[in-house]
Amino acid sequence: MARSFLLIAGLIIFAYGSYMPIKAQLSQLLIRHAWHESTYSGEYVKPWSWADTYPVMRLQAPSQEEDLIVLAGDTGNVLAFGPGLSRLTPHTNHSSTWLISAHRDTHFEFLQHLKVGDFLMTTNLDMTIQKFQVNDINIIDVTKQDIILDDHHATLKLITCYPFDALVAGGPLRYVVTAEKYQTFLY
Amino acid sequence: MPKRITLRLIIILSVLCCSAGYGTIIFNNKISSHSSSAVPDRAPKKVDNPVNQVTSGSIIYRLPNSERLTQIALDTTVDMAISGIVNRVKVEQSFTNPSNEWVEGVYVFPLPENSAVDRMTMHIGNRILEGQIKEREEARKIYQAAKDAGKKASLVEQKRPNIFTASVANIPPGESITIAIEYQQSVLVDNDTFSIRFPMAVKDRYVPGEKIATPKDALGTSPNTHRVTDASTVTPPSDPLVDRPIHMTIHLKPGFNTAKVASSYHNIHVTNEGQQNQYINLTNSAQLERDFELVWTAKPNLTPDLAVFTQKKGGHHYLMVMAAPVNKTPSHYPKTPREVIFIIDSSGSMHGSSMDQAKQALAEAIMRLDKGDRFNIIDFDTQFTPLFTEAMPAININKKSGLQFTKSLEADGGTDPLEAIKFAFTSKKIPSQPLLRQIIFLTDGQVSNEHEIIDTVRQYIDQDKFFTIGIGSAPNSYLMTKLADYGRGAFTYIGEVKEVRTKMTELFSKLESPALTDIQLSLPSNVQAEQANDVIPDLYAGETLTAVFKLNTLPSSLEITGKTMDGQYTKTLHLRDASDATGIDVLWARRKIERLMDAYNTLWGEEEKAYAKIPITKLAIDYHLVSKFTSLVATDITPSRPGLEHLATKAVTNKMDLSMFTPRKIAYQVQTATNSSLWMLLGLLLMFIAFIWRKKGRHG
Repeated sequence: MARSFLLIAGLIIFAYGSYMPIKAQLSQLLIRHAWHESTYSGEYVKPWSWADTYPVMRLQAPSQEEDLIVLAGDTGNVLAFGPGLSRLTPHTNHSSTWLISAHRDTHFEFLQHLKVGDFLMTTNLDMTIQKFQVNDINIIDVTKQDIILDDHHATLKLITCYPFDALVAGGPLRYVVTAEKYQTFLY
Repeated sequence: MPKRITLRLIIILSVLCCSAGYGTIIFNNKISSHSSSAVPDRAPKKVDNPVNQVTSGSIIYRLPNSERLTQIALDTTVDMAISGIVNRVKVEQSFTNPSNEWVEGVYVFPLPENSAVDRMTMHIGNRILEGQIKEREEARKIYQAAKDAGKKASLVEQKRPNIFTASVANIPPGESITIAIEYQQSVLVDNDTFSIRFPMAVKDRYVPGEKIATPKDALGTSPNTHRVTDASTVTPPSDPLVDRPIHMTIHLKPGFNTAKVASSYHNIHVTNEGQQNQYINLTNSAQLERDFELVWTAKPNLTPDLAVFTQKKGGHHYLMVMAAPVNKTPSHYPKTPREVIFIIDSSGSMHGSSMDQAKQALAEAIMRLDKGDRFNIIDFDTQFTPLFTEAMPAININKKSGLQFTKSLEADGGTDPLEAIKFAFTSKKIPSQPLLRQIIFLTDGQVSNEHEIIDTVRQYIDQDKFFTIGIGSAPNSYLMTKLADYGRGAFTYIGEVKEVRTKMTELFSKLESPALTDIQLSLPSNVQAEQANDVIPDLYAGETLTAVFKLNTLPSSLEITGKTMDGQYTKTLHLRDASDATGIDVLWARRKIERLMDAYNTLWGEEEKAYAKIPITKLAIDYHLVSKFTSLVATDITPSRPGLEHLATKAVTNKMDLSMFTPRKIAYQVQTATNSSLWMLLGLLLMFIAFIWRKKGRHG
């Protein structure tokens, strides 16, 4: 009796734990669909009708074969579905810092494998493609240090929690990958 | 799909379906990595990433061959000789190539908007090569040919009346090439104060419009757009870390005993060399990211209300007249009720002290409005927001909402004033009594579509007056001056918060006093004269009129006519005490070109433009001047770069202006991890225990 209770409890807890990464993966499909519609229409498209966010750009890391759709906002309910662009750094401003956050155990797990010199690409809704080069990887303690946003320089800051293999969420360390604009492709 | 997550899911699924053995693998993998021998080949081998061992605050990598390190070094030396009202300036730019490849440096730099660039020399070792004035396309070809042939070459082009580009080709690895650019400008005279300005940096300018094709080798930070078709040439890259030192020396011979010689924003050292002769140098050569301004005044009662300079050159006489025809005494007329429309720039480039200055200036202006006046405020960045849909009476309640509106302004977004200006002109009712309509434009003018804006003001101005207030450390004074000229208003510059009150008082006395309008200058009928600027902007109290003529013979008198509130105004100036000067011919040609360019810029048809281009080009070549259609080019005779070596073209990065903005610092509060692994592990652990339990139960 106690044994099967343990087994069921284990299953439920496991399912609860795996719900987040599975949700994160599945929602990317819907988000991707919304993104394509959005690039076609030029308007913001919600991935599902009750969503409180919408895709704003595509982020690619060719060296890691990563291809993600970035959503507007970086609150917890957005990050559950995909990387989020901070509301403080509007995607329409091409010559400023873009601050993108995501969970270290889902979408931004690949950050730990990025190296200085690697390229990142962003595609905006207006189909401008910008290439960035990673020039700085930093670990900061958010309780002591601020994130610096440069409003006059096209920069990409990708942020996730650190250490990557920590079991419990909520630590003060963040892994910050900074990439500077390398090139703009125009269509 | 992130690989690791996929893999983990596969493992999890296989754990659930097959045996429990893999559960321990995840366990091993996740919690302790010392028992790696237990990991079968199929399971993902976790490579321990060094980044996981680093603690807070440390930088792991820096790009070794970062662009910043291979920057072209550039050192600027500015030498000014001010004699009377002519300022002759030599700007020496030394391009040093620290890299180990052959380099072409392209530097976008500012010069005063009224500068006549007439000489460029290239210095290689002890040799000095003189630059030749050529038509723009021809100059480009000569430069390109020399560049391709591996010869050292340099080219100076005008991109805007106040933005120039110097290109220097084939700088050998580790060596430097110096070019010296010379220009001339007239000294500014306003209210007994003489001044010259020297801009230190090209600011980031806002580029509106849809992107269009941009050459692949463009060096600017912005692509060309349908509204600014040359945007990529006027948006040089900037970096806060590069050092662009400027050394400056000035020889000042004002022609009178000075009461005061001062720099408005920089520290200078003044040495007296004789009674009317001063030597000035900038104490700090570090480039200070704001315009340099030198101001001097004459001892009381020495300020001449008329100054006449003449020059004889090539069979022609040149005559320059400066006069202050309108008395400074405040007007005795009852104030005409006015409708004042403020247009305030709250774009990102205004961030920081500029926004504070603009807000204070605006608040000051609102407070000074009378009950009988009407006013409105239009705030713009990429879009515009008016306070009222049309101007409202300046009664207390409206003034209060005006102040509130001003207070709430925040600097962000682009600088696109076009629609705001149109709104200011069009949002008017036909009033029952005639109002004097004045539009006041407060901005740093960091735009790249100057001509579009100037043209709008020219088209809509009608009977309105357009005043400009330049804000910040380096406003686009070309734009501001031109707008004020076409708008029959005046340009006021506010460089610091502490200047706001005095400058606004000055401006308001101009706003409230009637101007001298429809100004005409006439010479005796026996004199054949060609006036550089046949359109003279309206003059406000204390403002100085400057006119330059090219003549066959020197006249003895000059008549100024115009209109004031009293009616016709006439004044005869007797040109007796003319003093000989040099460089008046260049000033004449520069002004003439400016006048012709104004006309050129109003043309739309390609054919008309091509036709209007001819006299401008001819004039520029005759007087050896750089213009929109002519450039200075110098090339070496012998090739220096071996044919096979590659030539890299680099934009010389401008020093980024940090005074205008402070990088935003934000406290990061986003939670970027979930406890999903923890829960999954816990679940697995429980299931594992249940599994073992069952096994144990069977054995027992």
